[in-house]
Amino acid sequence: MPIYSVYMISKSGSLLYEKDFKVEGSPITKQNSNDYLVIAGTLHGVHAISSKITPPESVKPNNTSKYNSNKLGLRCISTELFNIHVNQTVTGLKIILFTSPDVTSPKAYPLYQRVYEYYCDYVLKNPFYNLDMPIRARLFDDKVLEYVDKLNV
Amino acid sequence: MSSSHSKVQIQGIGYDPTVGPRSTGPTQAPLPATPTMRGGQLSSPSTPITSSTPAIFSTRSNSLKSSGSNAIGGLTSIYDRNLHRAKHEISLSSLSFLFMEMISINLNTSKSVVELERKLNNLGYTIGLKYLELASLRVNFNNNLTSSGKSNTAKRDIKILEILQFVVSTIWTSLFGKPADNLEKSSEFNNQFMIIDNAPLLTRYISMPKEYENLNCEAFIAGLIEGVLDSSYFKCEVSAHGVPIDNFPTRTVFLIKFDESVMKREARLAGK
Repeated sequence: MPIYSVYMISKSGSLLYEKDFKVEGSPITKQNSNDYLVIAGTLHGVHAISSKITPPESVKPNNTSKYNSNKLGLRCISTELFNIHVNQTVTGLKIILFTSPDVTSPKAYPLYQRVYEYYCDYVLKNPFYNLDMPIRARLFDDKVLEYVDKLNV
Repeated sequence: MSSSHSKVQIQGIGYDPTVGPRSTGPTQAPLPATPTMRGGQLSSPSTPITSSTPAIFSTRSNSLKSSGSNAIGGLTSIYDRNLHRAKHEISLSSLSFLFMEMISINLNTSKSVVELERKLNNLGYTIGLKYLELASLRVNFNNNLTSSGKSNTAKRDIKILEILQFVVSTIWTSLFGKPADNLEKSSEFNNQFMIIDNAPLLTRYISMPKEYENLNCEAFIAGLIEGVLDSSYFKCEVSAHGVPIDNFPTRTVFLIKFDESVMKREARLAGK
């Protein structure tokens, strides 16, 4: 179950982190940096709209998790070639995973949790990182890549 | 709660050198209504725990007799806990956040990388001066638990290699729970030694940005080592240098340069 890309979007909708992994047969083509911003902004907007139009009574009470605050908004976009999973932390940070179509939402959840864990450890505990700024931390890159590589084999 | 009020509160908590160890220990008297009293108080009267239970805190003298009896409401002073606990563990997350703030504050008040490194070094130095005492007390206590009832007086190392071994094994283990990975002697300079840690604990989560490439936050630990060595009469300078290798991106080398006087003494001891 390969992961093709990991994006992170701040609570205000700006792109914090984007990484396309080298996976054989990946349907995700490399974009220029402007397009990444557009994709991030669009996903953020669609997520906001969908969370507004979801009727609150439709949310199952047991369908909530401690770590995922994405209860009303867009969760998953499925296509023939890939799935896009949108997860939100309690602080409004969105972690977006582009995966192969066989990765369903429950399967994507542990992947999201791991990336979130690395974010907490290697980004938030880094004194040189300012909140809501693009993430440039070598150790975080290394860890995410190491984890994704393990899955992609 | 107003900010001026909370300022008064803070004075009651923490160590007050004019009062001594009592200042963070449990208090004896019922708390007065005004929050102006300094020292001696565990916390201010405005907190619910103390105002509702004024008389349950046992006195300092009680706590010396029986440990654990005054753990009422989960409040124990660090003076009531045994120095020789089996485990001395704290949360790595808390430590990382604390260390992160130490760096952030010093980063904002420093004009250059060199200044920042010096400040971190100084912070560690003051800890190192005191930490030697505690670490040697604990190691001797633990050693003597197994052997026959010897006294707890510490053995003092007087040779360079012995004291470095002490730092690499005892100090490192008590700080990080593992010994340092390597101890090397410089081939160029007689008075230089290197302690190598492949994965230093404090900088485990810290990736240096390009503009701070020369900085190593382990300068704090370098200062601590310097403090330990200085207070055991080995005058030296210690600096931390990042030397990454494969699989160990945060590998750090602590370079120890001993003073001329130490080398002379060493030569004299060897000549005996």
